[in-house]
Amino acid sequence: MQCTELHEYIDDRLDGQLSEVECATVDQHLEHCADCRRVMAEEKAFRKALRDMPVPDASVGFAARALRHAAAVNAVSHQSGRKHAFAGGFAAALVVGIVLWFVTGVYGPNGELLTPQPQLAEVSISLHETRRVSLSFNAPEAIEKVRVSLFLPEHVELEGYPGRKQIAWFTNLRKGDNVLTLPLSALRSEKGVFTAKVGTGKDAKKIQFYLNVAKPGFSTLQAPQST
Amino acid sequence: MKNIFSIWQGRKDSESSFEELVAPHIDRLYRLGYRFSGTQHDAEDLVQELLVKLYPRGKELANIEKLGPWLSRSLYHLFIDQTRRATSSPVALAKGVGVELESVACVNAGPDENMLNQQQFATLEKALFTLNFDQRTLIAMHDMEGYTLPELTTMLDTPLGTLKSRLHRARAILREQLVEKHE
Repeated sequence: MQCTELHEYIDDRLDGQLSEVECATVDQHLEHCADCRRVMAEEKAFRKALRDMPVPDASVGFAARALRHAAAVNAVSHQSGRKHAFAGGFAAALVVGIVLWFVTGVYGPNGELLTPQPQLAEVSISLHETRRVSLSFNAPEAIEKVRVSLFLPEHVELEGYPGRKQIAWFTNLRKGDNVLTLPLSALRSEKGVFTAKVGTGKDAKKIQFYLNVAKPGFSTLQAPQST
Repeated sequence: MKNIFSIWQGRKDSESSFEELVAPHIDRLYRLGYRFSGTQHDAEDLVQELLVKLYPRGKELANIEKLGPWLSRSLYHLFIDQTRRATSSPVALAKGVGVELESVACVNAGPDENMLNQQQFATLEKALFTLNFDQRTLIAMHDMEGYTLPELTTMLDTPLGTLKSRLHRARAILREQLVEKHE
């Protein structure tokens, strides 16, 4: 077996796709060829690096929470036939966006509404200050019993709900724009993802943006990046 | 997992049985979801949505012989659906493209080693997100999460030759990226 030939077998050898005879042939070549042993060692190290790539633990209590939520959503869904009447077209038609409000002014509506972009928008706020971030939801028609869920990053609180990282409630949407203004307070300098979901459980729209808490003296509010 | 079950004592039989079936697989589903999406939050969302969808099918799940791979396959298809929905939506839902990668500390390493590992992992993670969707999910399932090629032919409903070819190409791209970043 030539070296170039062996290189074609490396993936199959490591993926367990060679017969015993083919394995023996490859291994025999490796025994006598330092170059190919090096290539094989590099490939093994590459595979190991992929396998060892860390995964952060799920949030505390996630499994139990997720199971409980699945049961609850299905219980509501089972009881409420009405929900299904609008669930199908709901997410497809609902338009969501972030409107970023300064205390001193408001960005124009064209500037703040998120347009397709490769990265999350970033909102920077100052430490220990309260800023209002408004989420805009446009409904094609009035919709009742829509679930709104907020997921706050660890370093930010919603004013009036200290310590709460998940807040959810049911509400009705009016036809047209519905703006939800959230007074957010920064607890420490950090960056995290804020998520809001609006919908009917299975069929919800999600909007996310980074909340970057700058140290005092570095307060800025950035418009979403457009590309 | 005992903690999860104890929480649910006293619930209806349908709920208990769904939980008993699915709970042992949630950790692995979450890991796979993280490999697909690149963030803890999206991974949890993905698994959550899967559970909501599967809950009414509790009896059907009880009859599935290899539930783990079946659930992973369902998660994969759900992720495809979500990605398609996100890319066809008129609104930016920030999924599927340009995912900001989380930095995850390597707990067992010493300070210097830890820093080096984090850099390497960050480079590799960024390189992973330059792969196309099929390549990335395949690397995630095979090279990272250890599903075998025969398992994946069934799970992804794709011939073995196609999978091998995709893997080979994906690894080559990753290696090229790593070499470029290293230089």
